[in-house]
Amino acid sequence: MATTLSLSLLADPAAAHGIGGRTDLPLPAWQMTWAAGFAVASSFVALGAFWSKPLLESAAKGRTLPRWIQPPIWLFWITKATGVAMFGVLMYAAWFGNENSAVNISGDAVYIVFWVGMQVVSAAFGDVWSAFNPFITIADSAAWLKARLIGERLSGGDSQEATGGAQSVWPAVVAIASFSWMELAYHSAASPRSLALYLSVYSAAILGGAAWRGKGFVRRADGFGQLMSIISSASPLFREEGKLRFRPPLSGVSRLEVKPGTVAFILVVLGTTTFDGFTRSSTWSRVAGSSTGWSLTFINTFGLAVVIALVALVFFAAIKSMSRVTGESEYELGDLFGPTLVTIMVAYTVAHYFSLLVLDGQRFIIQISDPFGRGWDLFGTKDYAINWALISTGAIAWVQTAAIAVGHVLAVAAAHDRSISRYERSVALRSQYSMLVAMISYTVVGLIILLGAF
Amino acid sequence: MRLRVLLVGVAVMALALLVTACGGGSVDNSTKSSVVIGIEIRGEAPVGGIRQVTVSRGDALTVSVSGDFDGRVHIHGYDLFIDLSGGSGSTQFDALIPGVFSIEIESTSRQLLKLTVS
Repeated sequence: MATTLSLSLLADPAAAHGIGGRTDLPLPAWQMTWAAGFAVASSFVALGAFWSKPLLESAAKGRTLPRWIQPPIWLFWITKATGVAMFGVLMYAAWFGNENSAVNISGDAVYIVFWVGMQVVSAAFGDVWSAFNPFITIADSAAWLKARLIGERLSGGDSQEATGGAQSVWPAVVAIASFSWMELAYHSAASPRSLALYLSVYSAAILGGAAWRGKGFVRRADGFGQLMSIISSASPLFREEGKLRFRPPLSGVSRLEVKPGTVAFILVVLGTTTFDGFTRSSTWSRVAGSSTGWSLTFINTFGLAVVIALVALVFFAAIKSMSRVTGESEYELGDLFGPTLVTIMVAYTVAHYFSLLVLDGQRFIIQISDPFGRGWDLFGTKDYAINWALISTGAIAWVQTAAIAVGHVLAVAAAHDRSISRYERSVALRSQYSMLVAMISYTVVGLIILLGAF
Repeated sequence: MRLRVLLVGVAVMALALLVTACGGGSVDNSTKSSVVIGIEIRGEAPVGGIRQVTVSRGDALTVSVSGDFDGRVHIHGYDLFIDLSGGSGSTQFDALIPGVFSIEIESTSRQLLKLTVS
């Protein structure tokens, strides 16, 4: 009886996937049916009833917020310094802190507070991360220092930019895929030392690349920065020419700059979240449940690759069928409609990780007082007791359902707006059938995974 | 015009969802009971495969492990441990955290049982 709910902090709490020991209850079937029905119905309503002149692109210009809301320049110095300092603490904790991931801040800081929390912040408040991103700060500072020392003029971006070539973000696709692998496939994802090694290699690749190709390399190779920037396109807040501006939520998706690799990037993130949901099913338990160590890593890697491939296949099938209607190339159409999946991507993240953020995220409150797991109590929060009843299971289920449904409707709206801005109405409608089928597939699969009944 | 039709449609559906929601997820506190969950380990694997056990929130649980494995079993989420000696051991706790939890062999992360607290 003595063990009743005493939170023993002796061993690794990492589950087979990512971090955290708790996963959500399956979504009730009636709720799932409602959401799926809503998604399908709203999609078809969209075909007939949505606006007939493009709205989003003109709305996306937004308006400059009043001067008193504009963040002062010195604030960015603080955020940049904070970003680098936090990164330093994280790396120190991961390399030299307690090897138990339950008391070492690194795992929760990366997988919950940053990975999930920053995605939510980016969708709501814009590309906040770009103000903190330590890789950008370090690369910019190094470039400035080099220019001062050698007396050479400060050049803008990387060499590709200088030659006027298209700025491919394929390096960022590789970076984000490596993080997916680390989080969901590697068998020891939460171990502080594994994370330390991963982040060190990641940093070395990004900063080494910047040293070689110029500081602009960071912006197209840093998967995290790229992800937050893509997500922030759906946010109502954005910065342009140094001014904070407001636009209707979602409208910014229409102005998302699509570079070679951007669509692949979105599909990888979508596939990653889908795979994470799938690993919680009993089907997956039967496949991988008896594996441990590197054989588990191997099975996970295979599953992750297959799920990402399937998610991409659905999109390409839709694009292929669309190209038959409009007569344009698949590449062009892919770049045109890929960004409309952004809100589905964010919806998946919220649906799968909301409870992780709100419940397991509370562990961060404890860890912040003792980031290295040495028995410190810096802020007096060492004895904070995690409130597992902070939100009810019913509320979690509603957040999940609502996120998926809203994300779907917004994606359909964005695709609709794109098609009518490009084609005459009859072609626009016909071009959207296949896209709708793809989006409904994503949404229904997302819901079935939350239902957990397979 | 079309936008208005759409908005009305969405509003009606949202209302319908809300109304159905009220009948949805209430928690029944009246039926708290004691539940004993037995796990048998042979050759570092659960006998009969990975079972799924569902209990109600508030239930008093006893997880009892037997078999031929000596080591540590971890109840995730609750972060409770059972140190097995002579192949057996047990722990008791109240199922106060709702969710789905994995019970595993700590050293290898081999899953033994999936516990659902609803």
